[in-house]
Amino acid sequence: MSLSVLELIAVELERRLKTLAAASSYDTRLSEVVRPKRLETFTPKHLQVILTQGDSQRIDELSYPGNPPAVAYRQVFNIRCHVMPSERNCEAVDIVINQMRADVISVVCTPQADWYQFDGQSIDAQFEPEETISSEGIDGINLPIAIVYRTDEHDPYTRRA
Amino acid sequence: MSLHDTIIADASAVFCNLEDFGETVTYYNRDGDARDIKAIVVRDALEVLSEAGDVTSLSFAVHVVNSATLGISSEEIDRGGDMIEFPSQIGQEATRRSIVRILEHDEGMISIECR
Repeated sequence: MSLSVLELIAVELERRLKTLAAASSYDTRLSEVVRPKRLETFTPKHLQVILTQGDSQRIDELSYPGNPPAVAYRQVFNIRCHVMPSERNCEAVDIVINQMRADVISVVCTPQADWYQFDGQSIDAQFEPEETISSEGIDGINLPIAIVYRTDEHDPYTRRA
Repeated sequence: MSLHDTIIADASAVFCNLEDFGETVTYYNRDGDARDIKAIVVRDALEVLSEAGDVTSLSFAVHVVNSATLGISSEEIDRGGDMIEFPSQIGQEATRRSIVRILEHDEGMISIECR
C-alpha cells in the first residue's frame, strides 16, 4: 500500500516517539505509543503517548503555481503524554511530567540538524502551546506539533520541495 | 460473625451473584499479582476524552466487594497501575483496563471507574 506524504510524516513521528519505548539514552522509558483505533481504544497507562492528528489547513503563502501546482498544508499532531504514577509514589507528579516532556521533545527533534523535515517529507515544524491534561483520572501534558508539508495539488502521494 | 462480615458476605453472595448479573473478572495489582473476583460491570458508551475531541475512551463502572479476598479492598487499591481484566463488550475477548478512579465506596462495596 502506498502511503501519502502526510501518513509518511505520521509514521516517522511515531517511529521517533517509539525510540523512547525501547532502551535508550533517555531517562524516560515509555510504556507504549498508541495511534488510537476508532472504537476499541487504549487503556490509560503510566508513561504512555497517544498520537492523534488535529486540524489541518491549507497555507496559500507557501503554495506556488506550476503544472501541477504545489500546495502547502499545515497539519497539527497531538502528542498526548499520560502519566499515572503509583498513589504511593511520593514524587510530585509535575516532576514526572517535566521529565517526560523534555525527553519527548528531545527525541522528536532528533536528528537536530534536520528534524523538522521528518525524513524528507516536510518543510517546517514547530511545537505549539502546550495543554495540561488533568481529567478522568489521567494526568499529563499535550504537546501539539504543527508540521508543514507540500504536495502536488492533485496527488497527495507526491512530495514537493 | 460481625455486621461488617455479614455485609461483605451478602455483597459477594447476593449483589455479585454470578447467577444474576455478576461476572468473573481478574484484578491485577500494580506488581502484576492477579486474582479472580466477582464483579458487576456497567459498560458505558464511548466518551470523548480530550477537549479537541480527537481522543475517545471507553468507560466502565466496576462494582466489587470491598474486600481483599472476595473483591478489591479500598485500602489496597492503587489508581496508578492497578488493572481489571474483562471483556469490553460481552462475548468478546477480555482485555486489561486501568483503574482510574474510585467512584464511591463504603464498608460493603466499592465502585471503580476503568478506562
